[in-house]
Formats: sequence, structure tokens, C-alpha cells
Amino acid sequence: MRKAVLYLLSIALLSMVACNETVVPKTVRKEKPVLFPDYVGVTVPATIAPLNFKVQGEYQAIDALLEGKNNQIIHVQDKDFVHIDPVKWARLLNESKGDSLRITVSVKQADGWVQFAPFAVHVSDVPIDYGLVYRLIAPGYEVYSKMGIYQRDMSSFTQTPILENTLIPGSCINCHSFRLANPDDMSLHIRGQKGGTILKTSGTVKLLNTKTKQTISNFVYPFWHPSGKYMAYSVNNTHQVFHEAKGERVEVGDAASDVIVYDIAKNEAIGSPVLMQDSVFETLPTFSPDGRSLYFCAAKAKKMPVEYKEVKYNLCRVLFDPETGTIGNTIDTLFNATAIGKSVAFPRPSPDGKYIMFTLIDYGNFSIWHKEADLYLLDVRTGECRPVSEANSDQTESYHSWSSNSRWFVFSSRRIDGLYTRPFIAFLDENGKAGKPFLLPQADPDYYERLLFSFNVPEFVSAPVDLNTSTIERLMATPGENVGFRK
Amino acid sequence: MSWSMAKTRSKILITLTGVLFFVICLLFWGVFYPDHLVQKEQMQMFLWGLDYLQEHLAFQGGFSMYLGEFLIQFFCFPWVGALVVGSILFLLYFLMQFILSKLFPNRFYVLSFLPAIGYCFLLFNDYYTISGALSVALSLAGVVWYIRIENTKARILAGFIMLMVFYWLLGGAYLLFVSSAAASEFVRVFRTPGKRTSQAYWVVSGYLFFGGLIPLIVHRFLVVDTFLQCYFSPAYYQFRLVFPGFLVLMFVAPAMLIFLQWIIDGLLSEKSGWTLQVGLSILLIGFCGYGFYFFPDWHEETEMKYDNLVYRKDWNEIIRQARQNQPSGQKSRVALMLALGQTGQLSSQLFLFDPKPSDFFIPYEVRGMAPIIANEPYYWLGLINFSQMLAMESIESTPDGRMPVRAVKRYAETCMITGQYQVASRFLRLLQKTLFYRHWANAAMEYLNQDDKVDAHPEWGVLRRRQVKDDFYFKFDQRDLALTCLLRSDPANRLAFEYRVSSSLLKKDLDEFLEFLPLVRNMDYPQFPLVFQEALAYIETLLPQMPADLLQYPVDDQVHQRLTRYAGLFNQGGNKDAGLMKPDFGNTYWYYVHFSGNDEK
Repeated sequence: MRKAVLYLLSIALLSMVACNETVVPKTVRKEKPVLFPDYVGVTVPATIAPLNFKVQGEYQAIDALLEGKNNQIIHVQDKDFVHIDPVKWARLLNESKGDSLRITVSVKQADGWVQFAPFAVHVSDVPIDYGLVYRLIAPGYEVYSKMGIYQRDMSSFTQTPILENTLIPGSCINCHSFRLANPDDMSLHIRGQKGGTILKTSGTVKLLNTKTKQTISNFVYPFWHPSGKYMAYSVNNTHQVFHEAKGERVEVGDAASDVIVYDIAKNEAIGSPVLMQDSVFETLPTFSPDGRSLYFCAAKAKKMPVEYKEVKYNLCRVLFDPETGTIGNTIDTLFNATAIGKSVAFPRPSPDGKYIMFTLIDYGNFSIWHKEADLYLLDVRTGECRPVSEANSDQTESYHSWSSNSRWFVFSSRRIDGLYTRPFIAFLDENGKAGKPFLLPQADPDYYERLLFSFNVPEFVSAPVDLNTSTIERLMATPGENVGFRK
Repeated sequence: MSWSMAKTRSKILITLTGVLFFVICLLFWGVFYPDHLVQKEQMQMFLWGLDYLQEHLAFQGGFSMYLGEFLIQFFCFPWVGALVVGSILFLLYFLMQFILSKLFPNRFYVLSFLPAIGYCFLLFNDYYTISGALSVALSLAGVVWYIRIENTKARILAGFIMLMVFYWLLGGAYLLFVSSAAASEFVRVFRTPGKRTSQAYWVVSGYLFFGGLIPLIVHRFLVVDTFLQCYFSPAYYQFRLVFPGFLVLMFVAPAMLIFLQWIIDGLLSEKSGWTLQVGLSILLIGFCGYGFYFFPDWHEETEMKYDNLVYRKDWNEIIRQARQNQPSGQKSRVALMLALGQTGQLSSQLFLFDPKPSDFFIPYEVRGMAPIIANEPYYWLGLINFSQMLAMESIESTPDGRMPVRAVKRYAETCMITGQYQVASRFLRLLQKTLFYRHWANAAMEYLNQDDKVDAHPEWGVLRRRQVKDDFYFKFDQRDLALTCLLRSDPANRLAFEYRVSSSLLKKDLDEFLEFLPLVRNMDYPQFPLVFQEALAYIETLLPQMPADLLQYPVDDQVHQRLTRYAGLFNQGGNKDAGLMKPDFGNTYWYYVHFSGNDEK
């Protein structure tokens, strides 16, 4: 028996040795390798999961030498892709904080090894939040099958479900939102025969019926007030239409929309005449980090869907008094997109208050179906606005979210294939310049190729979300609390 | 009767009846219900590879679904499907019979047919799954194994292990195992004088306790799913919101049969027992006859037949079938109109088939599953975006969340046509992992990123050229506008022309008909289509003088003569009696104008 074990161990050892072939490059190329995911020259946090990758094209084997600070080296050789040991990787990143990794990649072709020019991966010493929360949903049209909201620990490949619609069959789960990346304060909607808004505030979970007589719909797009006492929501009368022309698919637009503030303690929606105008579409509200301004998108109302291409949203602001829950009477325009024939969607102020990042598109506000959608950065202090060219692509860049320290942002992009939305993360330096974004790493780089779901609404969280599904199931069997309304 | 004679007679009866039951099932599914089987294959996509197995092993009942899907992939050959279904049902009978014979030796057990017959009838309904029947069979096999273990401690230990394994692998059928094992323990104890009955109570209580507890633990810690599904799993019934009582009955039936047989054994003499068995056999045969005739959904089988013919692009067979027996269902009518259009016969044979304006498209509704056939007319017309949308809607709206391979293939095709090669490759790679679509997918991969090659493709190239050049928002109630756009982009799109002109004629809008008629020159008809001739002849009767530009269209003398006969009969009372006109003129446009379609525009 012992002999047999030794024999097997010897074979295993020999085969391991045989796997790690010494790379003697027959060809040395001057150009850097074309990787998937593209990690060449990206900036990553020191706690990110291993950046496993493959080289585009055919090869028999792949070899990568990852060199960091203090003589930290990882050597990987594999058949399909570079699969990095997580423990060694964590050590390598930790040692190389504030510096760069030098990665040399070779691939074995039929006629020998081909070595590419080394490339760098910059390891930032600026920390990033614990993880991401996103919805996985097929990029469909009107109907939906399986979907769920998941959390991903960014230092590993672990993804766990927070809520899946298998728990509430036939329902749509959407618009998850956290207060300053805090997993204890969470809001999400469940739409369907049984539906409502799930509101989780430190220790308690409630189901809300958010349709009131005075508002045109249930609560839709959410944003937390930094104090945790309020939430801003839009209420939207949304419709979809379908393009028949090649290259276009879906258009989602509002026939009417307003913005309200929800007072959590009083369970009341606070309406304001300036945010509920019939002649204006108001939507996508957010609070400023000091909680005293309410940003939102506003467009002149048009006949939908006939005049949809004329609906252009500006970035606007109204004052908000958190002590009294009072909304101001004057609307300021922070970014006049109409003037340049464009439209603003998803304004997101950085938690440090320096910037507002938004998506700019040709018209409307549902940017995910707009190939031209790009991220823009507005400097709140100077009023200067610029495209985040470092992160944008010729495909859609849409939803985005800031890390709690304002130095990282995650955004959804369709740059890989034009349809499936994937989460990219980018670093922002002190001067507001973004690093090259990197795709959220997966254990197997082919994961994204196989996955038939889009990553929707990626949001940072500072710790794991704990939502008891039995509580949700029990709440869904109750009628829920009716939300009141006050002006 | 001697012991050996009884044994021999039982064996013969068991074998003969079992084989007979198998043959009946085989013939039923193979001859009378094959299109249900073929559709099952289209409604799923079994992928070869470890990943797919791992995905299924990650939830309760997933392994059972995996096995079911594995078998169903062969249902594209309906006789293989019939063989699989027949074999599973035969297994149900055989295993139940084995359990009863082990517990109550030397009898013929007509009761052992009940689970097999019950499941056979359930499978007539597509919402009940093959994986469910298979799981019940596997669970019964587990019971067989369990009762064969003579050592009590070993048996009980095996029972608890099997309970947990069956729960995870087979889902709800673990309840069958639990109830049957408990029933067998009772029977063992109470039939054996001197056995300790308290032990049986403890064992049965243990089974029931753990059987009830395990799903609760799974619900709390392992899966995000409802209590209902944590107990039963999605392996049995396609709708997740409910779990039919029939299935629960199937799970407890073996235990009930064990008790019933015990009662029969204890109360009746051997002779009386045989008399009862004969009586039950007659009842069962009668029930089977009734069930095989009345329980299947024959209308749906016809609908599926047409749907499957569309999938095979067998347009001539569709028309042949329709001539024999005119279809009445929505899907079959859509299939027929598409077949007529694809063969250029809408313009000559439309009124042979009592057409209605609603026969051309399946209404788009955001509820239930989008039928896969719904995308077909749009696809062939060249409305590729909308075909793509409906293919995706079909993928996303299956009641059990599985990917229908036919819709996946169609989605990939639409991506190839529209040049979305990266998205197409994603779906083609999936199809490459299937057994029967692999070759097609491999061939399709050769076209990726090669516009010239796609342009030259006999199907994709044609459809790519048919696509509209001007953008518009598609609305289901504005299909005529979409057809007009298609003709504006490609005036030689014969299918769009036939659909558009048919729509005008069925709306009885002759001005619109005349507006599109000049395009007939682009269509390469061997002769001027009969329906158009009839319409023109009718128009002539409405005008004081036929305009010169309409005189260029040749209307056959026979058409004029027939119209004269029609007018004669019409004026002699036929105008108030459709029945009088129908035998000779029911297949003419004139009859349609005067007597049909008034309630549907």
C-alpha cells in the first residue's frame, strides 16, 4: 500500500516537473501581449483577487513571470490561462503597494516559445472597499427568467447570493442601494404580483408599499441621504420601445417622472412642486455628501415615444434641509447638457464631495442601450467637466458607483461584446485623473465568455451584506407598510 | 394451487403484463404523441462538460434534472424518446412490483401498475417533467435496495444516508423513499410475531423527523429558494409557484400500496385475493383506455406538429397536412401562412384555408412563455431585430428557466445576420457543447467576423439584405407599417409582399391592395397569382370603367366566368345564405369579402 502511494506521488511529482517547462523563447516580440481580460497597465488595489488572464489567440501553453518589490516572484505555467496562487498573489501585492508588478508572458506555439514585452500592473496603496454588490440579469427585453442580487468579495473569487428571484417566483428584483457603501442600510425593490420595496436599516427590515395617491408610481431610482434618515427616489411612468434598425435594440423612456424624498422615520414621501412638475421629467436623484443638496436629472417633457430623441436631461440641483426635511424652491442647473445636444444620466457625487460623475448620452436617460454613452466627471469646485477618457470606450459605459474613499469607481461597460454589461474598476488619483480600468477578476478568465447574464448596478459595499432570506419570504407574505405623503 | 404453480403463474403474469404495458407506452408516444417529445428536446439545452454537471449538483433535485435533460437531448428522434419514456414507466411498474413481491411473496400485484399508469398520464401534460418520472423510478430503486438489506441496523443506517443523498440528488422523490421505507418497516415488524414494535415507531419517527428537517436546514443555510421548492425541488413540475397534489400523491403512492397490499393479504384468502386482483385488473384496463384517449392534449399535439415542421423548414409538408385537415390553432395557422408565403403560394392559395388577419403573427404578450414559433415570421420576413427579441423572450420566459436550444440557435442566427459576431460566438460556443447542434455551431463559427461570407450564405445573406434600412419603433399593432418598410428596403422581398398584400385583402382594403400591386413584377411569379386575379376581377365589378393601368394585369377568362357564376348565385339569394355560396365559392376572395372576416379586422 505504502509503495503504491509513493509510486503515485512520484508520478504526480514528475508530471508537475514536466508541466513546468523551462521557457527558452524562440521569438521575442517587442509588443505587449493582448490579454483577456486586458490587465496591461492597469492600476489595482492591493487587496484585489488574482488577475488570472489568458492571451488572445491559440497556443499550447502559457507562462507568466510576475515580479514585484522585494524580490517577490510568482512563476505560473499552464495550458489554458495564467492561474495565480491566491496566497502568493496576496503576498506579492502587499509587498508591492505603491509600486508596480512587472509581468512577462510567453506562449508556446507549434514552433516554440514566443515571449512578449513585459508589462506593468500598478499596485495602488489606496485601499478599496470590501466588495461589490450587483444584479445578474440577462440582457433581455420585457420578460425575465432567473435574476438575483449577488455580492462579491473583491479579495477572492467568492460570489454569494443576497437575494434571487427563485425566492419570489416571477418577480423582478432591482435597484439595490446602500448608504455610503454600508451594508446595514440597504434598499431594493421587488416587482411582481407580490412586490414592494425592501428597506433594511440598522437591524430592521421592512416591506413598503410605495405607491401613493399623489405619486405616479412606486418608488424607482433610489439614493440614500448620508444621514440615513432620508432616501431620494424617482417615480417614473416607464415604457419600452424596440428599434428595428440594425445596431439598435431597445429604448426605455419615461412618459412622466418626478422626484420625491422619503422620510424613513415617518414613513412618508416628501413631495415638492419644483420636483413634480408636469412640464418637466425629473429623475435619477442623488444627495450631495453633506446632505444639503439634492441633485437630479431634469428634461422638458415631450410626447413619448414619438419625441423621445428630443428628451435631453440636464444635471440640476435643489437645496435640501435635513433637519426639517424641507426641499428648496430654486432649481440650479449644474451641467447644461441640452446646450450641447446631450443628456445626463446617473449623476453620482463622490463621497468626498469633489466630483460628480455622470453618464452622457445623446438623449433620454436609459444609457445602457446607448452605444455612445460615456462617463463624465464634473469638478464641483471649478465647474469644469470632462469625459473620463481613461475609462471610456467606443461601447456603452453606463452605471457607476464610487468607493467610500472616493478613489475608486466601478462602472458597467459593454466594451467586450457590445451587449453583456461587465463591471470595470478604475482608480482616480488626487488630481482627478483615472487609471486604466480593469475588469473584475474571475478565477477562470472564460467566466465572462460563458456567463449569459449582465452585471447590473455595481455598488461598492464596505462589508458583507447580511439579508435573511427567510425574513424576506415572511415579509412578502404580508401586505407591507403603506407609505404616506406630505408636501 | 401448489406453491411452485402460483410462483410460475405470477412470474408469467408479471412479465406479460409488464411487456404489454411497455409496448403500449412505446406505441402511444412513438405514434400518437411524438411531437410532444420533439418539443421537449427544443425546450432545453443539455451541455456536455463538468461545469454543467456542477451547476446542477449545486441545488436540491439538480442531479435529477441533469439526468432528465441528458435523456431528453435524444428526443429529437421521437422513437428514442418513446423508448425512454416507455422504459421509465416500465421501470416504475417493475420496481413497484418488486417491492410488493419482496414484502408479500408469490402474488400477482395489479396494484403495482398504479404509479406507472399515474405518471404516464401526468406526462401527457408538458409541465410534468421526465426528470420527475426518472427520480420516482430511482427512488423506488432505492426502496428496493433498502428492503433487501436484512440486517436491521445496516438497513436503518443505509436508510438515513439514502434519505439525505436522495434529497439532494432527486429532490421531492426523497419523500417517496422516506414514506416507503417507513411503511416497509411497519409491515416487517407487524407481520413478524415477537418483533419489537417500539423499534418500528422509533425508526419511522426518525425518518419523518429528518425527512421534514433537512429541507428546513437547506432553506436556511444552503439555497435561496422557497420552502415549497426546498421540499420538492424544481425537478418535477415546471412552474415554481405551485406543486400539484398529483405529484404528492405519486410520492406517497408506494407507501399506500404497501399498506393496501398488507390489508388485502391479511383480510382475504388467496382465492378472494385473486378474484379482487382480476376485478382490479378490469378496472385498471378500463381506466387506461379512458386515460389514453381523453387525457392527452390532442390539440396541442397538432400545434406542436406544425411548430416542429416550421423548425424543419418543411413548408410543403405543412401545406400538405393543412390540405388534409385544416388547422385551427394559433401556432398551426401561423405555420401554415408562413409555409404558403415561403413557397410563394399565399397569393394563389390563401383563400383555400379560410384565412383571418390574425393568422400571420402570434400576438406579443408579456405573460406566459413567448412561443418559439412567434419569432419565425419575423425572421423569414427580415425583421431580424424583432425576431431576435422574440427569441430572447422565449429564452427568458421558459417556465422552468431552462434555455430552449431552438431559441438559442435562432438567437445566434439573428446575431450572425445583424453582424453581432461577439454575441453570436457566445451562443455558438454553448451550442458547441451540445451533442446534436455541435456540427451546426462549428460550421457557423466559420462565419464569425466575415461579412462577405455571411452575405454569401444562402439563408443569412438573403435575410441580411431583407433587413430594413430605416429605423422605426416596432409596434405589434402596426405590423403593416413594418411590412411596408421591408418592401421599401427590398422591393423584391416576396414574403413581405405576400404578407403585406394578404393583409390588405383580408382587411378588404382594395385601395391599399392596388397600391402594392405594382411590386408584383419584382416577384418572379410563374403566372399572375390567382388571388390577385380574383381581387382585380372583383374591383372591375365595382368601377364603371377599369383604369388603364390595371388592365395590364392578366385576369384569366375562367376567373371572369367564375365571378359571373358567383354573381348569379349571389343575386339569387346567395347574398343572404353563405351556406349556399360556400360549396362552390368558399375558396374565392369574393366569398371572403361578402361572408368572412366581418368580425375581425
